[in-house]
Amino acid sequence: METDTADRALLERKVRRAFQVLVLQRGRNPGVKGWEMKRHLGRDYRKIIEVLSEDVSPMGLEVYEVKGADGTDDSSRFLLRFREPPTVSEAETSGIRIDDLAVLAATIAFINSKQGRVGRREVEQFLREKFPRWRVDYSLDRYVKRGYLEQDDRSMLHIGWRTHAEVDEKTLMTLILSRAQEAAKK
Amino acid sequence: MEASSADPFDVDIKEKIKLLKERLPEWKFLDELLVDSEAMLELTQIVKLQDEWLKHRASSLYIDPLLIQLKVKLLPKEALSEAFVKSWHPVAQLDQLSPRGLEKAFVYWRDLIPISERFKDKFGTYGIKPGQVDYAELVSLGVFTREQFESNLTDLHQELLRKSNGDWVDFRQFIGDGDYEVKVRRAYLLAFLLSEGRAMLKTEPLSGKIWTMAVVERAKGAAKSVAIPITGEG
Repeated sequence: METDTADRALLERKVRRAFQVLVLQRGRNPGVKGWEMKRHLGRDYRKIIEVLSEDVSPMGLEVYEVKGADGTDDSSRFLLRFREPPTVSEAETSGIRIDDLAVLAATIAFINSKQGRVGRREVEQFLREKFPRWRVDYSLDRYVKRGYLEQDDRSMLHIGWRTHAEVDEKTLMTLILSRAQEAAKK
Repeated sequence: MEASSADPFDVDIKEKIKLLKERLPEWKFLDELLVDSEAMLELTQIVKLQDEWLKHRASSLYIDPLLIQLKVKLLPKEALSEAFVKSWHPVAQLDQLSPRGLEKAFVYWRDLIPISERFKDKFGTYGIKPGQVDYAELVSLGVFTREQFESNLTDLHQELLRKSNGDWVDFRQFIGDGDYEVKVRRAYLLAFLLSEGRAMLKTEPLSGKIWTMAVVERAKGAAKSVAIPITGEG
């Protein structure tokens, strides 16, 4: 009985610790790597993350895992994110401009349609057909900086880790295709 | 190939390897062999790209680029951003102030050069706002000497006397429609003649015409102020 109580207390303590680790930003980018989680919570950190994800569910949150480049547990990044997408008005009240989001949506769709890598110049040309030049340059730089897009030393744009973490890319592509059909019918 | 989004299957790998194999016995020097191995490395990179290309194409994220370009063009910006928001799960995090961050902010603020000094090298000083320059200031700036000014004033009075000959002449025609600097100088001198009563001014508010006339005897009576814009246009 006493052991059960002690185990429960330990688990609660670790879950609390996991929440604190995830919610406080440490470096430039949000989220915590697998190896850091192991260091803070011990070998069974995945179980603790599962418990935490259930605990934060009533608040509309979840713990999400973004696989690292090499696919190992250590390189995975764990983040606390919204379980359901916000409404458009909620997104607007957070200070994000609709035009900026439109640029990002178009860029993600374009990069995905080109096997996940496109020259920046090609992306710029594509976007300039719809958005003013200054907004294209400004938004691309901003999204590269914030991790939604990645630019390599050959000026090729890729989908950034943050897009993998925050955006359900399949849903985005499906919505763009279906909305465009509706727009064409009108 | 790596620095573009061209189709990696456009390269015939088999043919290239066959060519390298044929030529291999001809290479004798180390440099040649190095270039050969570099070509082989490039070919393996293309095979890697082909692998990625196939994987992506097999995934449900693949859509024909032309189709997606067309669809994005068709969609209004609002619909694009709405599609994004509906597939977006923002990260929840706290931005907190740490003692280290506070120290960095303090050092930054302490070492920050005042804004008036910051861009001096790039843009120079900010200068002074537009204002009025009086005769004394123009003399002190060396634009006029006192003698020059008096003689210029007399010359202009003589010219106006000659041109008006007792009649009204068009003010703008008189100050000229050529060089802007000359125009401003003549208008400035004429303003002095008017203030001294050696010339008169008449305005027609409806047509916007302004007339002037030189007088031999100084005019008397209450003086009125008239603002006349002098533009760079002809």
